[in-house]
Amino acid sequence: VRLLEDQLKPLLAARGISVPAGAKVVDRHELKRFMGSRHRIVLKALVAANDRAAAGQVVVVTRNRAFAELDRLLAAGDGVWAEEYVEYARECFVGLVWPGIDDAPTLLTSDKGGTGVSHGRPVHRHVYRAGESLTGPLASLPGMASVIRAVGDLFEELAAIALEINPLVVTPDGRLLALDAKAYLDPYGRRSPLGLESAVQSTNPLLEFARLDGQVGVLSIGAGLTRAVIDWLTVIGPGAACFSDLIPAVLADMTQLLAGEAGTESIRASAWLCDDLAARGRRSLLINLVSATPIDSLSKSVLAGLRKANWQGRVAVHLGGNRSAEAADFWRSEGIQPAPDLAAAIAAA
Amino acid sequence: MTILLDRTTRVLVHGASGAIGRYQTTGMRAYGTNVVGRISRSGEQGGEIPSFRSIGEAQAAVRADLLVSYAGAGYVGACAAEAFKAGIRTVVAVAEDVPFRDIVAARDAGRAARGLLIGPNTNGILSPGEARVGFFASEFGSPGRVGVVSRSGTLIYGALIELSRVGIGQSTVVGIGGGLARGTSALTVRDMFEADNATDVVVLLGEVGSTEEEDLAAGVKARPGKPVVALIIGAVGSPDDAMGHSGALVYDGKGGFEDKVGALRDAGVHVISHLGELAETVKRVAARSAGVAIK
Repeated sequence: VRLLEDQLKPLLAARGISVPAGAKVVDRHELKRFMGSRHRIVLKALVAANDRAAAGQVVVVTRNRAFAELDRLLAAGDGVWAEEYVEYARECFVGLVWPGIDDAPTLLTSDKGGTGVSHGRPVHRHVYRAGESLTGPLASLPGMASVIRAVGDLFEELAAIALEINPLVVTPDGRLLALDAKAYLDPYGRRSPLGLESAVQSTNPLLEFARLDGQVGVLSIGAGLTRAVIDWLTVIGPGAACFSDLIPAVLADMTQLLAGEAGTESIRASAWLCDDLAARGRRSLLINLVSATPIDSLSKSVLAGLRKANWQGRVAVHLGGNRSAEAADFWRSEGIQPAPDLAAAIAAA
Repeated sequence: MTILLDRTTRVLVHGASGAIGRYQTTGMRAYGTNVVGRISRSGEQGGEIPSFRSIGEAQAAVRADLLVSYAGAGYVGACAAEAFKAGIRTVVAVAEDVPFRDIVAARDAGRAARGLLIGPNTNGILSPGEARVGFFASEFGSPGRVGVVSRSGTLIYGALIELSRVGIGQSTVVGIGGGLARGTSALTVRDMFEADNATDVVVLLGEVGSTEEEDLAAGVKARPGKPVVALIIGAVGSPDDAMGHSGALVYDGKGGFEDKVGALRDAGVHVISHLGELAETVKRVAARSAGVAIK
């Protein structure tokens, strides 16, 4: 989960890190209100891109160009961040990242902005939380210990994996000011009372799904096996038309499935996939049901979904795992012969 | 001999009161797993299995070797810490979506107690013909001499079907977890197989994201041993999309498909291009290794 500028800057300000006056604007009326008597401002597209300046998504504008630039940037992202223009004498960088489970959080500092990190070292939590023992190129900057402490506090509070201020600038009168910042949060981290739940991207609750360019629809259980089948299809030729993993629906239906019944959400997800494939002109579906979940009740769900969508294309079925013999009997009773192994099912599809 | 789990391993079940935990506990016992107790905070009794209100209470009575937890993500950290503190050596956590910091804390509690956290987001451990914990269906796997370690649970199922179909059995199968972080690395499990006299060949089932496979490659290169056959999934698809596994996200340019395949090949690992090549490659590799007779 990535936090954008409009979400992060108020959090930095609340912890005592100075930020330029700014506001999220979504139309000309809001921009006019923000500009007030300001002659020059900065406009930034709110997009999750790494180098917005190079992409023309951060611009310094005067009043007479502001509305035209606003319209352009609104087309690029989810709103625009408008900010007072600040003169500064020096650019720096400060960040905390947690590279992996076997690493300690690492404090990164640099006396340049941009991507040139010149000093990094693993630090124990008490170091960055206290803002003590700061070494490296920024150690002598007045106020830096407070910034590190605030970044450390926020890093913990947000359950962040990475949080950086880039650039952190020094104004001509010696103040530190966060001109830009970003954070990546642990998607499963506990939600702090910061109202950030909306930052979590919503996903289809019924089906882990992605459209691909190939020909064969793949309906499978579990991300790993689904991806393995997609790779296999690609290596041998036709490629997959989608990544579609039934796991969310299976979890929602677990009580029904364990009771031997077709699952409501599994039926809906299967039908939804068939509709999507048909709408894209795909005519072949590989159903690969291999799981510790009862495969017979899941088979009932999938077939009901195919019928609900009135699927007219080819169907190849491979089964394995819990109650797969009973599932094979079910498919045969419905006139579909399951393939003896996955290779045969892929060939048939 | 197997690694981590056999029919004598004393298993305690946490989260056995829910529908999934109850279902899997019945399945584990039917398979032969030595389930010695279950944790029920409410005091609910579990039929033939002794029920305890806490892990500490259970441990004093049954001296478990391994705890398998079917409880939700929010319970994993505390459960693992309590289990390691009580002297349980191996904790298997199946829950998905466990916060990164909870995994780190649980892993550290295990290290401090010289224990091992398997998972989270794992389908568990299977020693075919001996015992299983987690989500393995009894139909998967057959006894033999191939050790399997995987980040993906369902990919294990596919691989076991492919291997068993042509008569290649497995010593132990370990799902280390498909999330952002895990308590035990693929390299640690490979090293266990290296020391296991019941394992002749190791199969690694990896995927894009993280540096798990690169780390294993470095270990194999530094300490060559039994042949390793690897399948890396995720050749197709955008590196920006984890496609179901949070741990399969290529972040900051690290963990890409080509990097992993290159590192593994450089270490002498036999990398296959799709699942359909697994069984034949294992057979061929085993035949090349003098004295190795794969069942």
